[in-house]
Formats: sequence, C-alpha cells, structure tokens
Amino acid sequence: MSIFFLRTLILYIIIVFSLRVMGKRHLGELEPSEFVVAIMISNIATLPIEDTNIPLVAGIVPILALVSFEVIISSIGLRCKIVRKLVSGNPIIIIRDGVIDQKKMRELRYSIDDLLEQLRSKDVFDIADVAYAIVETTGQLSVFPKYPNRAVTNQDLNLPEPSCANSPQMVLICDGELVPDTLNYCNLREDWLQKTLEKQGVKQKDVFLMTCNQAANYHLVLRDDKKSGKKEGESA
Amino acid sequence: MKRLIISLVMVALIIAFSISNTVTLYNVRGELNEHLNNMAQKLEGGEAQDVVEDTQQFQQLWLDREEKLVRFIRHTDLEQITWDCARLPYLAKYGDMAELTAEINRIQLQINHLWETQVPRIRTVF
Repeated sequence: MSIFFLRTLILYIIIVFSLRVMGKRHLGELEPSEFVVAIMISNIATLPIEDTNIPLVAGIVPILALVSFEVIISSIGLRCKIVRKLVSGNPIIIIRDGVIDQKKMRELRYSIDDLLEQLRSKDVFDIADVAYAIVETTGQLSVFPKYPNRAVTNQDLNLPEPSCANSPQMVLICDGELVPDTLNYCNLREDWLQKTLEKQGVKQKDVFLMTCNQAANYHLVLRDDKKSGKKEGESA
Repeated sequence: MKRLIISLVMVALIIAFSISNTVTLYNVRGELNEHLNNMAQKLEGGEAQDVVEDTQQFQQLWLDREEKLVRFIRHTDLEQITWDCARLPYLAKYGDMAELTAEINRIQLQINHLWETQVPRIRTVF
C-alpha cells in the first residue's frame, strides 16, 4: 500500500515539474504535439502506480524524455518555420470576406455544426456578422466580426483617456502577505501602505486581498472573520 | 532558453543513465555466466561436491546483483531467476545432478535473455 502512495507522490512531483518545464498553456490551447504529450504522460504515469512489478524508472524516464523532446522541438520550431509547420500546421481561414470557404472546411473535416458551435462560443449567432474566421492550429476558431458588428471602443467614442488607464490592478497583499514587486510597480512605499491600512482600521494580517494600480487606486477585501464593511478602495 | 537547457540536460542524463544501466547489466551477465560455466564444467568433470558451495555463492551473488538490476528491469523477470537460483543449493546437496545441470542451463538462458531484451536493437525496439 505504501509503495502505491510513495510512487504516486513521486510521479506527481515529476509530472508537476515536467508541466512547469513545458511552460504555461491552458489545456484548451495546446498545440497538437503538446496535447499528445499530455495524454501520453497521463497514461505512462499510471503504469508504475498500478503495477509495482514495473520499476518506477520505467515511468519517470519516458515522461521526462517526452517533455524534453517537446521543449526541444518547440525551441527548434521558434527558429525554423518548416519545423513549426510540420509539427503544428498552419491556421486556416474558413470564412474570408464573409464568404465560407467550403473546400477548406471539407479539408479540415469541419462541419457546419462545428462552425456554428464555435461561432456561438464567441457570442456570434449570425454567420452574416463574420468578416473572417480562422481555425487556429489548436482547433480554436478566431473570429473577426464585420465593422458594424464590432464592439464599440473608447476610441470610437472619443472618450478622454484617464491617467493610468493602462495600469491594471495588481495584487498587493495576498492572504496577509505583502507582494513587494507590486509595491515597486505602483511606485509606492510601505509607509503609504501602513497609513492606508491604518485609515481603514485594519492590520496587514487581517487583509485577505488588496489590489492596487499605479494611480494608487486600491481595493481591499478583509478576511471573513475581520469584515467590517470597509472594502471600497480610494485613490491617494 | 532556460527550459531548453533543462531539457537538454534531462536528455543527456537519460542517455547517461541508460548507458550506465546497460553496462551494469553487461557486467552482471558476464559475472554470472562465468560462475554458471564454472559450475557446469565441474559437474561435467564429476566434481559434484565442490558445486554445493558454488551454488550457495552463486545464489548470494545473484541476490546482490539483483539489487542493482531491480531499479530498471521488470521485477517479474528477475523474480523468475531468483526462484530458480533458490533451487540450486538443494539440487546440488541432495544429488540430483541432471536436474541441477538443467537448472544451471535454464538460469543461463534467462540471464542471456534479460540481456537480449534490454539491449536497444531493431527487434527489441519494434
């Protein structure tokens, strides 16, 4: 019993390490080769766990080898377009200037139902609203709507740009712990933070989440047992 | 770049580990075969009494070497040899020479088979 547990623990650590080496990708955005590697890793990892006659090395070596090959091939693909094309393929335009390319759809084995489903997932319910639709190498559909159907932007409305409009809120305090990098990003100092917390009547350890941007606009969320209604942020 | 370097290092370590294991198996195979050949020759030469101690030594030698092999070879393959080795001292002690000779030959084939299946060749890879 303990062998199963220890092997599971070791393989869990190996897999987490391997996925970290492979890099950050959402499961739905994996390239075909990455998807294959992910499936193979999950299958290989179960073998030494299920059967203790198989040495643990018989699980670890293939996993590390697959991850290494994936990273090496994708690194080569960064520099060599041919390799990239061989491994990942090319994105395919299936709607061009509002016209569906039926030949490309047949080549991709992409049915009308698949197309409409993908469009609906992009909040497009009328195919006539689409100028361009591209099937990416991950299988996801990217949609470029026609001009009348595009979302209005601040630029379209000629709205003035407020200061620090391009500065997102970053996590300053997480579960009572200060994130020093955010303090630097916001060009603020610890004494500002302490004064702000004192003004709110809270201590740092009572804070569940505090976010802040470069304009010193902050949002404070206290721990459940410390809530006193003081949650809204104020600018400095 | 960091990930690429880590990957290349992992591949290099895997290759080094594989070569090391192959060399270990080669050495173990040579050692065990030498022992087995000596025992077989003694049996053919009628020196049955000397073989008793040799079988015990061989069993101990196998148990020691198995510790290294168990890290990278299927345990069921090694267990079969262990069980067969356990018979040797008693076959030698209680005088069943025909069975003993057959068992020695069987163990030799199993050890050679281990080597054949672990070495990367076209027929083992495919």
